[in-house]
Amino acid sequence: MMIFRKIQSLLFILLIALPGWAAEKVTFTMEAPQVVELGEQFRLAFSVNAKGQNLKLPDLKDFDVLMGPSTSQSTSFQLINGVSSSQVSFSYLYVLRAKKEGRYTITPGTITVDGKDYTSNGQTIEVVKGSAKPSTGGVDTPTTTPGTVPKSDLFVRMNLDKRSVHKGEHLTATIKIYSKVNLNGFEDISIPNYEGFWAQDIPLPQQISLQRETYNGEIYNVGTLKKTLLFPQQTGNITIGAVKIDCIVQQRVRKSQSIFDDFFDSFASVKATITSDPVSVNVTPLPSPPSGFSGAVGKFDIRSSITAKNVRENDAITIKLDVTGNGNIKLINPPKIAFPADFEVYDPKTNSNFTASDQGLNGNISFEYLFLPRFAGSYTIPAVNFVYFDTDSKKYVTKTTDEYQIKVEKGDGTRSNQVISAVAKEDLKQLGTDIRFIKTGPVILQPKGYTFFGSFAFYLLYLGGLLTLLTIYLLNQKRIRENANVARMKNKKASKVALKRLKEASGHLQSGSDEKFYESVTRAFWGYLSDKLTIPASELSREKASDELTKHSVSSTIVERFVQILETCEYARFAPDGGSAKMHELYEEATDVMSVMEKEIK
Amino acid sequence: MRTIMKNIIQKYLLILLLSGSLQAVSAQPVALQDSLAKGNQLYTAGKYAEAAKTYEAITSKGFESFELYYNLANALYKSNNITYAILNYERALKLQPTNEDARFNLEMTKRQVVDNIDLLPEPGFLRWWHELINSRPADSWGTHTLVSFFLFLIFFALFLFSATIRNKQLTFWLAVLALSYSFVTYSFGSTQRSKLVNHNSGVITERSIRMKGSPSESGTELFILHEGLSVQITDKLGDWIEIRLADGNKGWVKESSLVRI
Repeated sequence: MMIFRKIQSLLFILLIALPGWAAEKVTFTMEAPQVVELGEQFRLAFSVNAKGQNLKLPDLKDFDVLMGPSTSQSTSFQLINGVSSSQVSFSYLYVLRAKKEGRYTITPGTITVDGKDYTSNGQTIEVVKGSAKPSTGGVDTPTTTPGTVPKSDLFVRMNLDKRSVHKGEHLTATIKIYSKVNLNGFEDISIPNYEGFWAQDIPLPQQISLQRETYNGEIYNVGTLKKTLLFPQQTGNITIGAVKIDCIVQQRVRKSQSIFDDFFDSFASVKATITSDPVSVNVTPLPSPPSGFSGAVGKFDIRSSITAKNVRENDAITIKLDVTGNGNIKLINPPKIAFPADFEVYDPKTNSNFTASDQGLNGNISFEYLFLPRFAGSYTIPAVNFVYFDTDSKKYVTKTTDEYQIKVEKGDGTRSNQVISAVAKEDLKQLGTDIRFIKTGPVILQPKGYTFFGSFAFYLLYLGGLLTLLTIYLLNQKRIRENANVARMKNKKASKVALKRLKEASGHLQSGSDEKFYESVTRAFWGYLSDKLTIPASELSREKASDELTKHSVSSTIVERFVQILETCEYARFAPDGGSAKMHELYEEATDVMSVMEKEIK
Repeated sequence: MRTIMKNIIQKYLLILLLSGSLQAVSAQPVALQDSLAKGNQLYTAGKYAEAAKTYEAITSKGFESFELYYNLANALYKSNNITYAILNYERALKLQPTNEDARFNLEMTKRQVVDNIDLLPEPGFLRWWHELINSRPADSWGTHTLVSFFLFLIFFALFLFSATIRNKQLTFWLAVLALSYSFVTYSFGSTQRSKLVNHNSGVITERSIRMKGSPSESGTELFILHEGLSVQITDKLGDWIEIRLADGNKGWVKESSLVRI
């Protein structure tokens, strides 16, 4: 009857419009339930969205073919804003029944469309032992009292894909509803708040579609209500609370013996509240992290980029770190960049973009560091070490970015002057405290406890000083004594020398050389006085000599006569006029004065 | 004849002066200088524990110098051995009491010591006096006393040889001044030397000890002291020593619980 109706509609559509089929991508799919009970009838459908030929269907020897293949065709036609589009679909339908328990694979079928072969997907069908339910399309007899739904017919479970994870490693929590009854809808779903986790829902289709699955050897219609990625934030045994769902179940109700009952079943909506069992996860802490651990757990890669490397003072530069991978992306802390100390650095801007799937959280997070070099010069921005915990190898992995050399030139003055009018004085920035560096200069190592002070050499120096003084003193005393002796000797010799010189003079007198005579007389007197009075000859003058002679108690007449002789000698030396008689006279006078002087000088 | 004699005396004095330093220089093998340089390299490379071991090997051979103790203390500080760092800074400061870097580092290191002891207030002039004595190591005072003694000898000689009364008066007073300065600095020098030779201060090396009222295990417990504290040693009886804290408190501890500076 249905087929007939379909053909009817097809005819109707064909009448309205017969445009060529839109050239669409051909899809050829096979559809069958995953699980069937032994003896149950089920449908195996192939559908193709184009007219095909030469359909080759798989071998179905493991099943009894109850009906088919029956073909049906449907076409949809759309007219939107004058643009028409149409879809056609052909389906080939079998009604099968399993012969034996086990797993059977239905091999793909092929079809030729426009001369090209298309292959459908394959499918595995699990055949399980049926429940005691009659498989024939007879009247269901409710096994339970009306208004209640047995626990074995409707329940909810929370599945965790892992029961033991590291802190930060993701696990997937799936909430599934298992049902054998006619579910009409849900009134209220309360999902536990995943305390101790950071949770990210995996998007699911809006419509909850029920699929057949086995659980404990029985077939249920199973619907996935929610899938959530969980990232544990604390360690230890974390328990996730129960899921509570209010379901509306349609139940066939048998009323009292009315004759219509056999023909018209009456249904009643029954509200059933189901709760899941709480589950727990064992979260182990990460091994002790190395320095620079960013909190990332998963598998990541890091790239860095910089907007400019040659700038002027106070120009903004941005370094962007891009972390891509799978893991707890949202929970990654911005890695620290060791900027030169006098850079003006702003807090990093974080941007994340990710999708949640069964495989975890995939995507990237970027950190933008804006900074301004304040002073000209060459700077190095060191490489950033991004440390994460690899969930596969259970080890910390370090990824390193590039190091950047930045050249900052002096500002042209226009901009920086606006920013900083006059010279901005800054306090010295204390970056840290440390002890002062070691001494590396030349070192004199001494035996322990050695001091020059108090050593033998130290006291010897005292003694040496004293001895030196004593020696100098004694030497001086000796010199004084010796000097005194020399004076006495000279005194003694004085008259002898003088007489010798006078004799020399008398020799000159006889030989008639006047000049030499006078000179000898003068020298005899001066030499005599110098030795006798211990006055250096150079210091002697006529006045000094007469003074000294008076001091040495020489009578004034002798002094006068002495001065007279010297004057005569000097006068005669420069103006020789006297004859030899006068010279003779002077000689006599000189010897006379000399002998008196010798007696009188004391 | 006179000049020859003078020459001999001069040479004799020169040898005397040099003999002190020569004795020290000739006694240190080249190997020790090399290992000191190696220690400095290790320290610069950040291998502090190894550097400390290298320096310690030199001290264990019986040699010392300000720089050696200072570098050793730095290496110990960097390898987190606070107590022995303090000990070696104190040793360094004994050799150069006024070294600013060593004082600074000691101050930094002492911040990590558990015990906080208020210094006993000292009368101003006494503190000044101690600072004056402490301002130079023994050998520096030794130079002062020797030089001023020689000045005294020179002035005394001039006094002897000067002819006029005025000159004699002047040189006499100068000689007296030089001699008294020599005496004062000699006493300073011997004070400094006794500190160096007698080792009458120490640093506590046990994590925590109890200071007793008498030199026996049964003595009354007075204070709990922790490692890194510098104390004065005032007496000794058997294996017990009497210590004096910076705040003036005295008590007895086992000698093994501290290391003499």
